[in-house]
Amino acid sequence: MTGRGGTLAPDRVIEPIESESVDTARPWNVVVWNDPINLMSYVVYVFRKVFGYSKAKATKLMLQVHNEGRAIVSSGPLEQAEIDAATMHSYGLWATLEQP
Amino acid sequence: MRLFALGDGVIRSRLSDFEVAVLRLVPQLLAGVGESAVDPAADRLTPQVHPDDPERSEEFRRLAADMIQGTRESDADALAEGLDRIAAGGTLSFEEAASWIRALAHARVILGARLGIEEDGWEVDRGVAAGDTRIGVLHFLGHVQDDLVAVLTSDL
Repeated sequence: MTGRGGTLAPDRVIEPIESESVDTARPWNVVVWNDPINLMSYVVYVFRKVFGYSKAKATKLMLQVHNEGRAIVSSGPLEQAEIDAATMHSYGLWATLEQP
Repeated sequence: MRLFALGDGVIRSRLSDFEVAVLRLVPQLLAGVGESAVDPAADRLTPQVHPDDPERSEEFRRLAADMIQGTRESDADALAEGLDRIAAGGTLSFEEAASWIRALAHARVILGARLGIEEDGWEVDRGVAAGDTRIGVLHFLGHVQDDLVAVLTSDL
């Protein structure tokens, strides 16, 4: 992670959702969807700030969201994916989870 | 002209008194999410994270709600406190500005959802909310947010 300010509300921990029907071994994708309100510059900033992506990678993902309607911004274990999705929501972005 | 300038490790505001007054509406806007039984803004800010599984989505929402609500409240407080300081001739820190742009994002998403804006292009074709003064506020908050993003990006 880059930049100042550190993580969001580090004292708040999200417990993973347990379910027998879920294969937790396979990675989960965090998908950010296009929305008509959030500024392109802001979305690039969020991807850089939260995930520590380079300007080029963050811009590519933002353009994918804008042009194709969605982009996978991170992948990993369910617990991490849920934290990432909640963080996207805390930034006002529309994010969902999927397990390919 | 840019509304903010970077100098000596702090952010200096060029906001007018009127612009500060408009921004004071933002914490109020953030505090009102979900107060009414039907609020499209509440649905938009906490979307179903598992689109095909409402039950698991609701469980996630329940667990994440405290974090998201807590962040929104602390961002709203940072905005209100920063506006007081700016009104007294003071400056903003980078950390405060990071809270500001999240608060502004939420405020814009709330306004957009309540205006029924669902498609790109609303800035040009105002059909969905033509004549609604909230469109002007939406543009202004975007202007403030964009200028702050420009300052904060220089720090990444």
